[in-house]
Order: sequence, then structure tokens, then C-alpha cells
Amino acid sequence: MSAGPIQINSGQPEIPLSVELRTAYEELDAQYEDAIENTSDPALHASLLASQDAVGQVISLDNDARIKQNTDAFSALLGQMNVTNQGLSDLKDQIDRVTGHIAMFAGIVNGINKVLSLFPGI
Amino acid sequence: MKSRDVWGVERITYRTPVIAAVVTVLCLATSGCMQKLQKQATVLSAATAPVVDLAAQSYKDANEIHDLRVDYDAVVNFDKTSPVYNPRTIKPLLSEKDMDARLAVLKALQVYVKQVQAIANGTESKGLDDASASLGSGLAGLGNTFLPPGSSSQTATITQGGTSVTETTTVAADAISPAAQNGIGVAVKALGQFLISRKVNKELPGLVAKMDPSIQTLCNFLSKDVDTLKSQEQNDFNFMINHQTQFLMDNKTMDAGARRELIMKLPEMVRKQRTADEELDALKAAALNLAKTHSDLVKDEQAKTPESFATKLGELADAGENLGKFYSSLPSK
Repeated sequence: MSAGPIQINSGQPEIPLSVELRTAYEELDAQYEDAIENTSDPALHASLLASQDAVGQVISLDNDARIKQNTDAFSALLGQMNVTNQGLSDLKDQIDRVTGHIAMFAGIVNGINKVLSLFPGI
Repeated sequence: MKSRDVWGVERITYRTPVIAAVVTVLCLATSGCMQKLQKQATVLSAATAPVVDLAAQSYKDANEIHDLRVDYDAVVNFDKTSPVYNPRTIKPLLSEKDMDARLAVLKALQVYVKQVQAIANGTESKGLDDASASLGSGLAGLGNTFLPPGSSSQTATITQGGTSVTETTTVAADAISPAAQNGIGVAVKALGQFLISRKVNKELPGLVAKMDPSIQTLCNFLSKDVDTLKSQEQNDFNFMINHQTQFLMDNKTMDAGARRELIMKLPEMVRKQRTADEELDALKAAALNLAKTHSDLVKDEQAKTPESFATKLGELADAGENLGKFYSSLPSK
């Protein structure tokens, strides 16, 4: 650990973490990880691991809060997307009506032809 | 070509190039914008597919990795007296509600892209083909009922008493030739396509622009989700690898074969982590690409003004008239 671990006050921080605090926890976690990866002493490894677990737990809680926040954001977004999708659906209906009108005229003209075929004298 | 009478066959024939000109103008007016729109819709669809596939897979994988970490957590906490370990309190990383919210938005995104594609391809539908052909045939039938029949000549060479004689016979024919009948169907279809494209060009850009903030927000949230999942996956893998390592350090005298197997699981964990990382990186890249593709689509649509469209339409009409003249010069039958 080059610069030494970042000191964070004990006690449960407020979740979700502020950007600065989150960065501080991530840096601390990375420093513990770096130390763990370079230790072959079981006792030191266990000690570093216990500290990393505590930091990791805070990051996990913050990740959980972020996931929940995004869930709410996705739910709100769904409503907006559905409104536009309804607009597109209406436009599609209008387009289909153009084809429907042509088909309807075709039906009428073909019907007239059929009637006229019954009067060969015309 | 002379007109035989008011409703004469020649007159119908004379109109064939006019139909061709009308068809040409309508087709040109329709095809330019619609073809571009169809191409853009295809690009948008291509940009959307990886986002939907990768996101659904990434959420599933993140949950599976976290479940594995929860299993390791059980080993670490099992012998603790305070709090007493209780497996019934375990939770997934993404709950059913979390997953449903994300999958519902991705589904709405798919619906949106499919609808844009369907609308962009609205001028190319089998329904319009069938209806146009049916109306063309019906109108031709009506014309053949009321118009005097035309005629066509057939020439044959016969030999009578050793001498070859050329005989020309005239047979009755429909007033509206099959070619003209086909032309009417094509004209009806061109008119339908023109009406559809006018509607699409008028309304679709507004709807696409209206959707853009939602797409940008969606891609932004997906990107944030990736950052969170990546952080959690790193957290989970570090926890699993480090605790497995600690166990192996503390149990050097355990059965050599069992220990060897546990050691060999460590590189496998790293491989899994790398695969999960790559998947999340790909999802983030796909989300950024989708945001850009949609943004480009909106900018392109906004660049079109009704004035420029009218000018373009005028140019297309001129081009159509010239083509119409070209058609007039061709034999009509």
C-alpha cells in the first residue's frame, strides 16, 4: 500500500453514499485487495480480509441502494415509453386504414362488376 | 394515335403513358424519404438487439454470481454466534421486482423499434399489394363492361394450291388491355404508398423525437446499472477468491486431493469474472451505440423541413414528367 489506507470514520455511513465517500470506499477496498493479493501470511491475510469484508459490505449496501434507485427510474421510464408507443400504434392504425380503404373500394367495384355481369345487355 | 370515339380503345391506350407518369411521380415522391427511413429503422433495430439480449443475460449472470457469493457467505458466517447464521434471510442481487422493471422497459424498447420498422416499411405490405391489384382489376372490369370492345389483328400465312397467301384476321379484345389493367393496379398502389408516406413523414419524426429523451435516459440508466453490477461482481469475486484462499491457507493439512481440487477452482473463478466483465463492457458499449444511433436518427429527421420536402417533391414531379414523356414514346401495346 503506497499511500496508506484511507481513514473512514467508524459506524454505518448513510446509504446511498455520496460520490466522494463512495470513491473513498472503493479506493480503500482496492488497497486492501492489493495487500491481500501480496500476502502469504495466513494471519495477516485473515486480518486484511476481515477489514476488506467490512468495506465490501458498505459498497454492497450502496450497490443495492443504487439498484433499487434504478428500478424506480426504470419503472417511471416505462410509463413515458408506453405513451410514445401508443402514438406509434395509432399511426400504424392510420396507415393500415389507407390499405383498408383501398380494399373497401376494391370490394365495392368488384361487387358492382358482379351485379353488372347479371345484366349482360348493359 | 387517334381517338376512335369518345370512349374509344385508342384513347385508353393513349392514357397508358399518363398512368406511367403519375405512377413515376408518386413512386419517386414516396421512395426517397421512405427508403432512407427504412434504412434508419433497420440500423436502429440492429443497435437495439444487442442491448436487449446482453442486458437480459447480464442481469441473469449477475444474479447467478451473487448467489454463488451468498453460498461462500454461508461458509464464512455459519459458525458465528452473533448474529446466528440463518440461510432463510438470503436475498438475490436483483429481486423479481428489480428484474421485472428492467425487462419491462427492454420489452417497451423492442415494441418501439418494431413499430418504427413496421411504419417505415408501411408502403411495402402484402395487404396494399392485394388491395391495389384487386381495385385495379375491378376498375378494369368496370371499364370493359361499359367501353366498346377493342380489336386486335392476327396475321397467318397459309398455302392454297401451292401459293402462299397471307391472311389477316381481326378479333375482338377487351377495351382495357391486361397491360393497362396492370398499370391501373400499379397506379392505385403508388397512390396508396404516397398517402402512407405523406402520413409517415408528417407524424413519425415527431414521435421519434418524443421518444429520444426516454431512449437517452434508458441508455444512461443501463450504463449506470453496468457500473453497479460490475462493482458488485468485483466485490463478489474478491470475496469468494479471498475466502477460498484463506481456507486453503488455514487447512494445509487437509486431504491433498481435496485441497488440490479447491486450489484448481481459483483460476476458474477468475475466468468467470473476466467473462462477466466482458459481457458488462459489451452491454455498456451497446447502450452507448443505441443512444447515439437514436440521437442521429432524430437529428436527421429534424433536418428535414416541409419547404425542402415541397421543393424535393417539385423536382420529383419534373423528373416524373420527363419519365412520362419517355414512356409516351414507347409502343403502348
